[in-house]
Amino acid sequence: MKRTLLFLAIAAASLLTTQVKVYAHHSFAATYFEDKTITIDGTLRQFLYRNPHSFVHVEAPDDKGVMQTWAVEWGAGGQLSRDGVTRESLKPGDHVIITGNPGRDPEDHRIRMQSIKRPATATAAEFNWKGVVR
Amino acid sequence: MFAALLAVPAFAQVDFTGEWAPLYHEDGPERLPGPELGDYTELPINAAARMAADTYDADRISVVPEYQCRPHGADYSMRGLGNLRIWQEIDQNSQKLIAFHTHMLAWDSERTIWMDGRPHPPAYAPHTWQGFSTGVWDGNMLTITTTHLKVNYLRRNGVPRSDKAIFTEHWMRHGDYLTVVTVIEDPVYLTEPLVRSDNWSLDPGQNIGIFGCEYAPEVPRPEGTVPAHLPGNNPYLREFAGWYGLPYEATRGGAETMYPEYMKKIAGEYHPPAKCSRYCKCTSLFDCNLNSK
Amino acid sequence: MDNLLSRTRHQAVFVFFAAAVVCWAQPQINPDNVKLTMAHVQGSVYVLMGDGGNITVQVGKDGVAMVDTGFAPLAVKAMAEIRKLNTGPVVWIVNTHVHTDHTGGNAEIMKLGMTRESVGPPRLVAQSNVLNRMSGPQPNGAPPIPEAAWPNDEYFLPTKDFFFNSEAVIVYHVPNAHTDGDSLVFFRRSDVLSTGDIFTPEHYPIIDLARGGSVEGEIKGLNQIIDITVPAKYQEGGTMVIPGHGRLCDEADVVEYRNMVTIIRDRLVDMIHRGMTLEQVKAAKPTLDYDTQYGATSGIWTTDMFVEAAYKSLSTKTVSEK
Repeated sequence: MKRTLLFLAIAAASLLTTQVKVYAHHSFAATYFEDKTITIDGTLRQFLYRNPHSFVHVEAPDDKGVMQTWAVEWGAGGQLSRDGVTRESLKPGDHVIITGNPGRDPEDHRIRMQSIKRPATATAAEFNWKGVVR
Repeated sequence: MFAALLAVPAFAQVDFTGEWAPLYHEDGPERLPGPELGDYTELPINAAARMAADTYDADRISVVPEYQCRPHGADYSMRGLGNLRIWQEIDQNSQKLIAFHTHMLAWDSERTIWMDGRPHPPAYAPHTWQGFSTGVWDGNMLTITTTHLKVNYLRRNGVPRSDKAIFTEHWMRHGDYLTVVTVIEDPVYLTEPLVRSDNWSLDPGQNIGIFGCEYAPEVPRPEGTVPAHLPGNNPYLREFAGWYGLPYEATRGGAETMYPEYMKKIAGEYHPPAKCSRYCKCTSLFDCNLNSK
Repeated sequence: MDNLLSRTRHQAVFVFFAAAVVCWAQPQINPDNVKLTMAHVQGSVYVLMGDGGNITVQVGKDGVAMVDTGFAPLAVKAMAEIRKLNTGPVVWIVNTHVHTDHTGGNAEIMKLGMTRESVGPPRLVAQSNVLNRMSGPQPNGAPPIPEAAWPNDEYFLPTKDFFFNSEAVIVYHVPNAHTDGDSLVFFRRSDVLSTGDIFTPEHYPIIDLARGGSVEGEIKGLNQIIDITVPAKYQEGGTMVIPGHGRLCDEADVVEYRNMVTIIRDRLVDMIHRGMTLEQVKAAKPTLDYDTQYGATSGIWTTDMFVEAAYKSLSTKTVSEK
């Protein structure tokens, strides 16, 4: 019994730690205003599903109504895969609504993803993701 | 024959072999989501390092394509930024230890720690991310010296580490825990050695996997652009002091800020917020976020 | 501590050679007091260090190709080191630029490099501005350079190439960088790039304004190096880079250096646009964060001199932009 419990304890601990894939590419606090959020509503132009960070590039108006190309940072391929997001989940041309932390350099129109929604269309199901990009 | 006699492998006094998972009870917010902008506390930096950090624009990692897949150096890797595997290389004939090898998830980094007494390469040899490491036993503690490191960083908010640095580690295993005390001496950016510690726990079920990295136009800017703040123009440097109730001078780092006596010195000027508002809880990857409580 | 001493030693050597370069003279060197080190880079390419600038040596069944020839007093010693690798004729020499720490050994190597197998003297390749400067009146009253040291295979187009020891060798002109006659030399199969003094990782770049150097050209040259180099994995290894002076490098090392020059350029452009004088710029210490890595307070190429050269180089461009 003791050996079984010990085995289960080790297995449980291992399960927890094997999920921890950390490499901490860059500092989020240094890159983004973590205490602010911004929402953009536009058209997805590119989906880079990759390490160290996936990116989506979206054409959407800024707060002055001027069209910009926004660079939205998302999780690494591994993180997204665990959340059920694949390369096929989003396509160029998709209408997306994204909320996230704005980047510190306003010229770069950069966002750290907190949520993304693609409303359902005649040809594509609704897509939702919400989480913390690590 | 003579050369072979000069290179004398050691018998392993402690076996560090295993799969090791990093623990984050020390310096969790800095090591996980990343350091706050303008936080140079407890770093013995000089004016050059301070200016480099003050003018650093974190977008540089995205805009300079060659930085996107740039690994952590051997020293920053040991801040526990990645699951670690250690194994031994044993000489078949003598059964003596020739080297320890490490593999880390982050950028699939591998390092060899030579235990056979071989010398470090000459000064003109190329530098690498993991450098060139040799180890000697000090009782049951392994002391490792690494040279020939490429330029990298001490903290991911722009505090640099030069390619002239010497990186020393002391590995201590106690049961299923590995404690690594690191010492960085950098004549270019530090006025004193920087001493830090990190801990790991044995994780036999760990499966590191492959990292992989692909360059991409993350934040498109004209080729050759290197994002940076002009000197004196970084508007964010006082945020950290304000959020945590610290006197601004304390956040500017310097050797004095490493020592416990400094806490007494600033006691009258340190006014922590009544309620924690940032990174209030941070023990693992999953609970270390801005608003976690 | 050892690294600090090593850097101090490097600086002393650099100051000594830089003095010769700027004064357009061959330094008084006792070859017995100079240690030359030959190191294998990769493939067919080696580097000879300790003789003025780094000398690249490619060897094989066809003979020897060299990039630069170091100082004249050390030519015999340099040739002796090369002969330990290969006894064939020196067939190709490429000068990366005109300075004497890279070209001083030309005449001597042209003679010493010939063997019974030679079908003629070595081809001494250089961008045409190198020939123009060598063959014209010398600055500071220095004596004329003998014709035996002049390039005999100058090129005018953006690139020149030849095939030697089973690999393509491509020479790229980089206009108005360190000087107006700079060349990069790429050994394609060996995957080694010689940069001349466009890239000198131990020191701020010498912008030789009198010989057509410029900061913008220097940055373009560094970007060109980064375009040519390909790392093997995660920004390490792959194309090896032999700088004009200093240790063996790869792309990541060049990126750090390029970033430094670019950031300093951006600061100086801002200061010039704000109307700051040279003295005001120097007082503002625009290079402070890089001085402990690349700077010098004494000798022939100090931090102040770098700032002054960069300021003048950018002021000319900035004024013309207006």
